[in-house]
Amino acid sequence: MTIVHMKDIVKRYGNQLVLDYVDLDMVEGEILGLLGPNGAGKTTLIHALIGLIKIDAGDIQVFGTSHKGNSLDIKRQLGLVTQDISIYEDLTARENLEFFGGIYGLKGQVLKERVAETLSFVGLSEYANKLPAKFSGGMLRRLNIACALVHRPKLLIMDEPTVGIDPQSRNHILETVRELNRQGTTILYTTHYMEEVQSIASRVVIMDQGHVIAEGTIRELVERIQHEEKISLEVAEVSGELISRLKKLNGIKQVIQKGNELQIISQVGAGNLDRVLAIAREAGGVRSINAEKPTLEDVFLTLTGKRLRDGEAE
Amino acid sequence: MVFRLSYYMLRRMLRGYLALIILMLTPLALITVLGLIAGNAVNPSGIPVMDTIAITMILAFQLYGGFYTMDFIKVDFFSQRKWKMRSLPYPPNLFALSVFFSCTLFSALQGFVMVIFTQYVYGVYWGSWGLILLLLMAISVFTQLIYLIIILLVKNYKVAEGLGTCYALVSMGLSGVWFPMPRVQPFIFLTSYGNPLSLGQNMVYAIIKGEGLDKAFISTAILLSSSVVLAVVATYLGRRKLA
Repeated sequence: MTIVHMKDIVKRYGNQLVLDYVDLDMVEGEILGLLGPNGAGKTTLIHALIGLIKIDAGDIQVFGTSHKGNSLDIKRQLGLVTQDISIYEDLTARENLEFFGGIYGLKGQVLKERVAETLSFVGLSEYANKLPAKFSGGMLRRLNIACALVHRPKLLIMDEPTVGIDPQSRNHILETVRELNRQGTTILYTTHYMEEVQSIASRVVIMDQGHVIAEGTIRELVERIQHEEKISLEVAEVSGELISRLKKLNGIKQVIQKGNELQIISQVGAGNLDRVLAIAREAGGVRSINAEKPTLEDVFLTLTGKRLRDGEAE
Repeated sequence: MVFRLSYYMLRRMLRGYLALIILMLTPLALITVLGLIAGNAVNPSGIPVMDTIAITMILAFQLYGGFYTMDFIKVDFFSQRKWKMRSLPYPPNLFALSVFFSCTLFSALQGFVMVIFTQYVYGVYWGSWGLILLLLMAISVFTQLIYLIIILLVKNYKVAEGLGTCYALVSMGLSGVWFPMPRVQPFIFLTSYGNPLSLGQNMVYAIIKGEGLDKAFISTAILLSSSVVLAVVATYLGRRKLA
């Protein structure tokens, strides 16, 4: 069942077109990974979905209801985990949850039970009566998530929820997301971390410059570029001439330099592995070489010409 | 819901130790020091100087209580937290109303604690505690509305803070706290009725002495009517800027 239907969404800030006739559908029970470099329009799309900004054109239906005039009804069924920590540092973890739960209309024993369950769910029961000022970055992120979960939303929107935390806390959060999804929550998850999307998303939407440029399951997206292979090459010295010679080879699509390492995207079957090796040897020697199957990162690179993490162009 | 949210806001304010030091301990310290200097002196109208110092200090520091409202509104609606607040199924203008109620109450109670303290520790005579609490509430309402309007009108928070400070300092200046104002119009009117501190003082002296009731009634009328006007302006701005 489709619970989010966004059709031809247009949003402008002055002369800047931030969302350019964007379509997005979400099906109940899925984890949708929304990927895109900085400035792609992900956060604006989320804000439009929740009804936080006015769109210039298009139609948004959430749970079968149009946003026009029904914002509060829709908001009651949503939970938003913001990229910035949105908790109160002068309220304890328990009070934070009681505060947000109260706004969603929970009260009395139900509120108490939900708060206790949610704190336990995110692993913060022992810290229930502590002020967040003393929490680590990971604990703050978990409390931030808990504040969006206490009312048990049908649709949870997570805007880069793992920014700036240690791997252990990140794993904890990802496991929390999986568990929530197993319990029936539909999740929209935006991130810069490709491996997070690969590990949790059932479907992926890739955005760039205000457009949805691809969508599908990870397998479907990878199959789109199966006709390509990636050759990773570490050489003694990278020169402009070496890159230029590699780019001139038949079937070579991209050459990306990162220090002494070169990533070469080539057409499958072009027989470029031997030629690349020969050119690299002439240019000073090869330290290592590796041919890999395409990943989601490669899909992104192929579609946008950018790396996701830093938005850097080739 | 407004009262429920106010409960958590009051808790937050109780944990704002820096604000408590500035708005409660500082005036008490000033009252103590200036009271020691004044000793047992009595002013020409027969009120102990210690009492006038306590009245002026407590009412003057009420004029800074609006920083509570200003800070809460800034953090919840003009920082990155605004997206979270706007995603909640609760109208932002009603949330702002909760902020206004709780800050008004907290600031007035803060003043009332100082009233009780000065009565028991320094023997300051305040007359009826009930009337004094009502008076503190009235000044607090007026002040919180001023600061609310400033934060809704001014985008730059530093400028808004500066304007808040100006409001308090100008009010104190007009009431003649630092030096006597010229005895010519319009200063005579401004010194008597043209600032919230003088209006408060007029009412307190009427409560204490049971005299100058006409002045107290005019002051009450001015304070309440101007608060109504400010409330209308704040509601209009709140609906435009927060909704």
